[in-house]
Amino acid sequence: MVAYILRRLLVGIPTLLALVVFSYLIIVAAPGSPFLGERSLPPEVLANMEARYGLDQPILRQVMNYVWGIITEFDFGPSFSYKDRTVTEIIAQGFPITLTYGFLAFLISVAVGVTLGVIAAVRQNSWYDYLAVGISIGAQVLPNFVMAPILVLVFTLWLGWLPGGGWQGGQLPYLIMPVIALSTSFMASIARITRSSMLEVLGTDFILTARAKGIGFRRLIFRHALKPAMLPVVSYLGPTFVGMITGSVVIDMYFSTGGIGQFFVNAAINRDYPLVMGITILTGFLTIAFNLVVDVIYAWIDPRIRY
Amino acid sequence: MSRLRIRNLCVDFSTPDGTVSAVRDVSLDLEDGEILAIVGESGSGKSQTAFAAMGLLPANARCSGSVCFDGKEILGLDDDALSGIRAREIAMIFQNPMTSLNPYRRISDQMTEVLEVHQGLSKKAARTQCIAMLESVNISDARMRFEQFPHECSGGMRQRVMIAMSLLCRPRILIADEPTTALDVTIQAQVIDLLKMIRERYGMAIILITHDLGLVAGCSDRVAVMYAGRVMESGPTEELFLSPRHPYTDALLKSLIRMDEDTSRLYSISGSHPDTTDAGSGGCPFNPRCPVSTIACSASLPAVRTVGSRSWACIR
Amino acid sequence: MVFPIGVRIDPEARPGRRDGRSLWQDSRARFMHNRAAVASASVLLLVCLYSIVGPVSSEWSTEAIDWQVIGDVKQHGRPSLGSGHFFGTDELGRDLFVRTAMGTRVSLMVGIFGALVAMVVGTLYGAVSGYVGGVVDSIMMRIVDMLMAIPFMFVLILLLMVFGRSVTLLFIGIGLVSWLDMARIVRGQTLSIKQMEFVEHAVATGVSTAMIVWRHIIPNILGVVVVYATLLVPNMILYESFISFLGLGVQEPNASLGSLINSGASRMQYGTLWQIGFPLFFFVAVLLGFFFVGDGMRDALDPREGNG
Repeated sequence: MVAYILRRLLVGIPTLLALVVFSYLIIVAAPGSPFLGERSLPPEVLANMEARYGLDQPILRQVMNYVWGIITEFDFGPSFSYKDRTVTEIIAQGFPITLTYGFLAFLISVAVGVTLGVIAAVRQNSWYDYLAVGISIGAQVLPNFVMAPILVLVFTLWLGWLPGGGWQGGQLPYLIMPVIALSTSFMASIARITRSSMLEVLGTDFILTARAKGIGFRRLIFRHALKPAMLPVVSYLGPTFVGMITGSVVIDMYFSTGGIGQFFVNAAINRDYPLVMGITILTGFLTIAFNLVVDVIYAWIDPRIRY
Repeated sequence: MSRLRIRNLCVDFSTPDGTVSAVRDVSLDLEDGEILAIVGESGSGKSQTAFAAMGLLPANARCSGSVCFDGKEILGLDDDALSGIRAREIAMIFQNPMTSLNPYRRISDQMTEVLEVHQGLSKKAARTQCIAMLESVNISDARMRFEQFPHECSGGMRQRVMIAMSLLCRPRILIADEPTTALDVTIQAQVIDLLKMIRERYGMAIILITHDLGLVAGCSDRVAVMYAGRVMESGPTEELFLSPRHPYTDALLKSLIRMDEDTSRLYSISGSHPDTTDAGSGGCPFNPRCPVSTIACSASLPAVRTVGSRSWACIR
Repeated sequence: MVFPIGVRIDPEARPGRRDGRSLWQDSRARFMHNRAAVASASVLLLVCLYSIVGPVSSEWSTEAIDWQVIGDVKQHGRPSLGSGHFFGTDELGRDLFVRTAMGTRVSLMVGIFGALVAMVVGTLYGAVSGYVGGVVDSIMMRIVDMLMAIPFMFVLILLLMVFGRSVTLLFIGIGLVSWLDMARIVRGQTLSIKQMEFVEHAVATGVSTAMIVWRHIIPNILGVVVVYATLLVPNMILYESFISFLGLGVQEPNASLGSLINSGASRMQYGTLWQIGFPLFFFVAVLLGFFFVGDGMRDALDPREGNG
């Protein structure tokens, strides 16, 4: 197992490095790149850049400086658009917020999705099944950027129950809509995946054997069917995680929650390259780390996987 | 009173392509300590008969008739009611040992579970019994095998595990659905010997479902030959082999490859097994392929004739 | 209770196929029997028709401003047959009927072209990787693994930011980040087709590798590829709408469904709900349509799968 994790790390590290180098090169190669001095930057930023990256040095050297700064000091350089702040400071401010509602949304998607899917499969062709399938098909076409306005329309503009935005240290009323908006479509996908894989498992020979053993319904579902039925769901956890991080961009923008996504969009619109790169690299790192965890869970569930 | 009594069992499947009548009007009896072989081609309904008796048919199946265990009707009971019968009174093993064990759980968990549920034993107490049972079905290194996952064992080994697992509650009846079909020939013989040994040791009845007449000859007491969902002929194995009454049985026996005869040509039954969707064409289902059929054969279904311990469904 | 196992048909008891229909005829017949899929296909056709004919049939253009409504959009800009604004106008007095048609067309185009790019790149990559095999295969697949671990929306936004926002780049970018699954699927299919006799025969008679991939492998995996590409289209539309919703995709005065939903959402509090309602309706219709058609095609080609 340990060797397996190490081997996965060996793939993950170059991936991350490739991402860093790739993003840096794109920016350097871009027309109108600030690194080429064609764009008028505030002089203090330019001075910082000069000092930080050594823009007169060869590109390879610059990349190495950049990477080295990240590894040793967790330093992603100065931000262009937020003049007196570094990228690291901005990330430290926005990231905890994103993680808070993102993690909640992730938990809810998985818990609710799996429950819905299992019940639908177990009561196949009942009214409950049709309802669950109907809801999950419908919810699949309600991504976060559609859910967010709808929620605001209903709960803020019509009913007046929930505040339309803000964060306030993550108090419950401010959390509800971001979490629902973010989790709906993923919950639906997870429910669909769970249902169909559960149905497939229930049709296998070993379930027939288990039934022939007369062990009772609950035991059959929980001890025999659930674990294998979870495998496709586990594979979908990676994309779900990425979806949560990506979706935070919409959430932060729409609900003004102040998470990393808001900074990202502003940075993208204002061509704040260091900030965009910093956030991209950080999410890349998280994604890779999370995929590693997923692989380990997968191997733990399925004993036939060779490490 | 026989241990298991099946009367007029019918099984229909509703499929997108129409209704399939897999089992039609089957009646069978099983006594303690006997091995009953149900023989038939693919699609003859032999497995579905056993599945119906165990209540293991899929949701799109409908069955009618009667299956009595110890005089108690068990056909149509739900899973909860049947859990008192399954494994405790009637156990079943399946065709493909490669897929019938749960690949995600250790053999130990799958075996002890039976005793935990049915006899309320603790895992620890169940463990000793399970290992003893593994040893009694001739599994060497039983202790080591016990802790393994199914994929770490060979096919023959897994079928032994299945057999050991089915015996844990000392059921009165073991249903073996094509237990050797997926195994190598050498392993087949070992599994059949094992089944015979079990019958001797525990005095239980065994239903052996197979398409292999050669297998039947060596071990069963009685044989029921099925064709197109119906029992064509049944009787004591030896008598049935010596003097088949039904032309289908006769044809089946002729198509066995015999080592003691010098034949230049293999016998085969012309035509193919009928489509089970067209339920009632009226006559004998074997009529289109029968070498000795007459006009009367297509007119009506031949009645079952019983003489002594033998019965057959042919007008001749 | 009845035990909830799906319709498990005893394979031995399945009635034989009586007529000698070909695989494709069979698939088409199965697809036509799938009411949801056929209905969705019809809806998609109607939506396409609207997106093409809509702008021509209206007296308004996508950029023309109706000065009569501009003062009080909530009153004069509401949907009405009389004013010619069937879907109403936006806050600038532009006709939403034609703008929604344009947005639908842009979204459909991004979806279809994106899926095409993903299909071409993924098929070629996967077929070469699967057919050549060995070290090449493991390196190529390792690269796919690596790329899969990257949060692509961020990279795509980075690209758009660096190279400027253009629909062309959006097409290519979205397609290029979506070929990975396609490559994996195609590789798997290729591996199994590679084993077949006709490929071995081609190898034995000295046909070149490129020719075998082109003539034998690709035609045989086309069915799977087309089905998967159909299922990719709604995802492409989702990506595009996401980016346009953020204001990083299609630029004014052009519109896509995502940017229309965004501007509609930002005007909700003024009570002009038609601004979000109509684009949202077409967005949902297009996505559901492609999901059902894709599912229907998959079931038709491979009836064993997809009971969910």
